Amino acid sequence: MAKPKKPRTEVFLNIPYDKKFERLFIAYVAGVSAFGLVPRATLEIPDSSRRLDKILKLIEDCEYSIHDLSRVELDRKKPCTPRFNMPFELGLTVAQEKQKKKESWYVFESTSYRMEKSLSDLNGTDAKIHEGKVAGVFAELCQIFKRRGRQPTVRQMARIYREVRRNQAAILKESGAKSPYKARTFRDICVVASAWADRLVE
Amino acid sequence: MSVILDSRFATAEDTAAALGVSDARLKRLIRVAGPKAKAERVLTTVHFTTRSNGKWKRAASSASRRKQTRGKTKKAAH
Repeated sequence: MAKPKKPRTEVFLNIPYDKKFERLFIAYVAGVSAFGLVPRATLEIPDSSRRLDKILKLIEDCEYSIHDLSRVELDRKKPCTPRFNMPFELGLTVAQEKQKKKESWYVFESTSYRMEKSLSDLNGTDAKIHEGKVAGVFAELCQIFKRRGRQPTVRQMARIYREVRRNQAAILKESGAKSPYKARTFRDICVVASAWADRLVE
Repeated sequence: MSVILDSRFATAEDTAAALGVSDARLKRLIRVAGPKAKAERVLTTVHFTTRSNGKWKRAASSASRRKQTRGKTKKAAH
């Protein structure tokens, strides 16, 4: 008798939510969906006093996590402050996984050796360098994940990305949102990406 | 280090269930993603054939015939 497969696997996406990152945000959703994985993000969590507990629960629920530190930089709005959310959530993930004695977190950066400078505590960890490009994200995801049978190609990932981008305006219009960084929009984008992945990846 | 995935490939239904998307919304989203793909699949399979007098024939002889076939296929897909 064939061994029953594990249920769906979820991936925690720890990424910045800003306009400049929009293309890479969709690329992560498309790439993760292409591997038959379910993207999860803190976008799903409504603002409340127990936000931190919910973030911890979300990290715990996800089998793998991807942390993009490419936009950990000073913003232009005064007072100029660096963005701590991504490194903070990376720290929470590392701590949780050390307790469970598993290591299934991956750090993405746009520039080589920058993480060694900004977060030297992680020296010895190879950051995945996407160079701020959609194709770079796909290539690095292919280095991390392998799937027996339905292994997606970079070309299929690019197709899923294009289709999601094509439908993005309609999805935003339906939810009345101006940016994809809203809970409902994020869910809709993930579902559309999964539908395309299921259709294209054989 | 790469990871070998042995879990089930998540479909749109799986993703919707994980993210708490309702069935009605899921159907609507699949429709959003759907029609073009359906048309393309039809186009690739019957691209160069046309039906006349109840028989299927190849229509690759000229560019105009191929265009006519494409038009018919698109209409059929919609």
